[in-house]
Amino acid sequence: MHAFGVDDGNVQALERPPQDGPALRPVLHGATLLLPEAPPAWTLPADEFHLAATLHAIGHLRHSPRRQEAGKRKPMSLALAGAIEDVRVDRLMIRRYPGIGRLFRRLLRCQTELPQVGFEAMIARLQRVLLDPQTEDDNAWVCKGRALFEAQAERLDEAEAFRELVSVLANDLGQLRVRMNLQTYAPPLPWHDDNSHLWAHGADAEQAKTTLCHPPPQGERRSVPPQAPEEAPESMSLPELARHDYPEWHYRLDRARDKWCTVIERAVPPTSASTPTPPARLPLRLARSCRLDRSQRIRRQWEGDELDLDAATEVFIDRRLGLVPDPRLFRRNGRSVPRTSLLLLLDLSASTADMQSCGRNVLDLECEAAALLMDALRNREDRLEVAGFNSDGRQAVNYLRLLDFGQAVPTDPMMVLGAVRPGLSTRLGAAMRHATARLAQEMSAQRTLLVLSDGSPSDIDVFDARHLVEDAARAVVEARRKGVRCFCLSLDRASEADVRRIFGHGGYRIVDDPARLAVTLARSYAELVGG
Amino acid sequence: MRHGDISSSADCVGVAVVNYKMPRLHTKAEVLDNARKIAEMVVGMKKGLPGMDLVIFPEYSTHGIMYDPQEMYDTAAMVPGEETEIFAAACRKAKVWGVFSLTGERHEDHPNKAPYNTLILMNDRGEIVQKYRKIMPWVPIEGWYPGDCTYVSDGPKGMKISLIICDDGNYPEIWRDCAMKGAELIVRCQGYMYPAKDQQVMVAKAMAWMNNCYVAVANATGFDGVYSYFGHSAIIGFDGRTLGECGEEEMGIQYAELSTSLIRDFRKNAQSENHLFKLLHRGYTGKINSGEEPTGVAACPYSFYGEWINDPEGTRKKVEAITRSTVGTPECPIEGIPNQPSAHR
Repeated sequence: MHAFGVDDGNVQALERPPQDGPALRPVLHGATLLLPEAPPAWTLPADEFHLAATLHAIGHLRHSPRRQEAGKRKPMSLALAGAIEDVRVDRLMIRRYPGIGRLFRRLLRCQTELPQVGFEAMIARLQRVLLDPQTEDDNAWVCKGRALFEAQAERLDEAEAFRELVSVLANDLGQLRVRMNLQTYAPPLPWHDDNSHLWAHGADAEQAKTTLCHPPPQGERRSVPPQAPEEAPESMSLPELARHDYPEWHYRLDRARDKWCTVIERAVPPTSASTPTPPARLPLRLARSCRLDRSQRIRRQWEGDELDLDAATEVFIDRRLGLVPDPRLFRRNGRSVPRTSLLLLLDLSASTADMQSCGRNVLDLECEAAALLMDALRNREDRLEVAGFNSDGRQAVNYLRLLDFGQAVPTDPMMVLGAVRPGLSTRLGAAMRHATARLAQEMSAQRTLLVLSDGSPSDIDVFDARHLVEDAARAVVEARRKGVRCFCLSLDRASEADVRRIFGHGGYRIVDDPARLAVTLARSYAELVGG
Repeated sequence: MRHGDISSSADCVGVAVVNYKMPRLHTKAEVLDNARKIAEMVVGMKKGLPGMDLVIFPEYSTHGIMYDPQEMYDTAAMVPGEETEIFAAACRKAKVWGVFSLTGERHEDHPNKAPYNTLILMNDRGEIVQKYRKIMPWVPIEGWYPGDCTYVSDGPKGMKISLIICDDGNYPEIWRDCAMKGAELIVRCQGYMYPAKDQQVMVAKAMAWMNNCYVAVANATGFDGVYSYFGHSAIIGFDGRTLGECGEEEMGIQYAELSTSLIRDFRKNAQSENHLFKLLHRGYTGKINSGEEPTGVAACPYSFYGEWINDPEGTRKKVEAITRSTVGTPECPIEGIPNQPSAHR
């Protein structure tokens, strides 16, 4: 090999344990030729087989393009291209070293006759007439191949020049219905290698072309086409705590479909608040409204709704004793601040990444509202749960438990909210049913569900835009029947019609201006809890 | 294979097909009333056609088409159930076999899943012999849950019978499947509407010819407020020629006698047009001339079927490459049928 200018060339013996099957072919791996023993049918000296195989491999190493894209070319086309390439490099070697031609022709003439039909036979016949000019063949396809090849003979150095003739000849073979046996095919001349070095197949080729795709930056309206593969959202990899099945309302059938949706509760580990905190705002001042409380009885009052019986008894006693009776005869109910359980449900779907006119995305605004509420409720007796939701079809409605009832509200709300990311869809009804079930376990006098969302439910397995809106509306009705107050703070004005249908006229507020967020939140809270 | 008489014989199965007027119903009570009308018709027909062994009613003849989804789910029947009891009494009384349509039959997971479009073959003792669920619901319009299997049952006088429904018949695979399982008579009940009249008349004849089988088609007639049904219920011989065919008249009836021995004789002795035999003895003359096996080639030469069985999803992708990738099309959108790839929002 070195003598032919292939400096890094190397020849190794190719060994295989004895077994049945076709004889081994030389394999060209990099610049190393793996050379097997001469096949059993080889009648000439084995040295000549090794010499011919080595000379042919040198031809490939000097002249053949390596690892070409196989693309969608069929096996027959690739095999034919390999066969033409074999002849091209052999002819180049013969042109440069005429003695090689004599060797090849002698070996060719000693080959046993191949069958006359089938793909392998056609290739063998074509190669024979191309390598040995004195050979004649009466097959039309072989003659056509010879004519086309010889027409390009001046351009033997250019591998590209032979592509078209391969395409023409392969098409002809297809039309002739010549069959190729994929399992047994090998280049017909035994000293020719398997040509595996010529092609880059399948995964390799794809890998070579694959470039890393970066997800669009958060906060931009998604511009990727919907069919683009999405990254598995983070919520899907969070640890699963429990699964709950809930019905879904089908408005067209006017009935609920039982166990239709599966809500998966997932735990969200607190973050170290590395996520940037939303811009600091004035703290939210929540009104603490009092209301009549029958458990608080105030006795001995100047006026009131009921007589204080103890005081009345004493009046009569005093009168009998001739004393001046105490005129504070009445009793009235006191007022107290009721304890509230508030569940804050954050919409974490992909649409919350949409930019609003204020220049921030919906999820940003949701987090800011949640942070304001958490700050305001931190030192109060009210109980708070913060949860996020998204969905990937009815079988996977993720309910992310960010802060549970009874847990202390952290000093930095972003320790809870820092983990949320937009992704997946918005199956609002199922999430609200689960939130209602969580609230139903609370013993507080007031149980309130506050949804922060862009307001339009959707999911990938629902194609009727009204379906999930009607289901969510039904979920609100069911929650209110169970004594849970429902309210939505929608952060996208475009969804107002849906939000109104779901939560009713007085059950929502739209706020898309961050400057008005605290005020709107305070008012909403006052209406919900104080009303 | 006889036509014109009202008789039948030990060898011939008397088959009647009915151009039933498509009913427009809304409640279970209306459906049961209509089932009773069908039952009366069975008994009446037997008086006029004493040779009648099998009577075939079209798809949707019992329920009509419930265009309202709520009505469709509410009226979905259990099979066997109230409707089939009415038919059973009629079959026993008239001593005939019947093919009746139940649109729909409640899914096992009712109401979470859509009902099936079902056809039953009932014997003259009122027993359900075959219950077939439509494999190819006529999408995008029909919202039935798809079935997944064809059947062959012994019918009157031992004739082997398969049931198929309407759009099923537009796919040559189902005819071949039934015929290769041994069906001698393939019953196609349909609620087929304009405009595809000529095509359906042609398909029934072509499939009888290509599969060496008798075909009985029962189709609806009339206008139900939405579609107009073209009738043309027909009985076709295994040579692909029509024995008798209705026009578009409401409640029209056709009748013919189908010989069991003749079709078996044909399948045994026919040569050049014995398509069932030849499909599995491909090119036997050439193989004999080549000194190879004289039975011809048995292997399936159609790679599509192998791909479909071994890689349904991959094959679907190939079909989408030459058609489209969504079930709906944006150029003619239909409510509830997606015409864009699903995306999370």
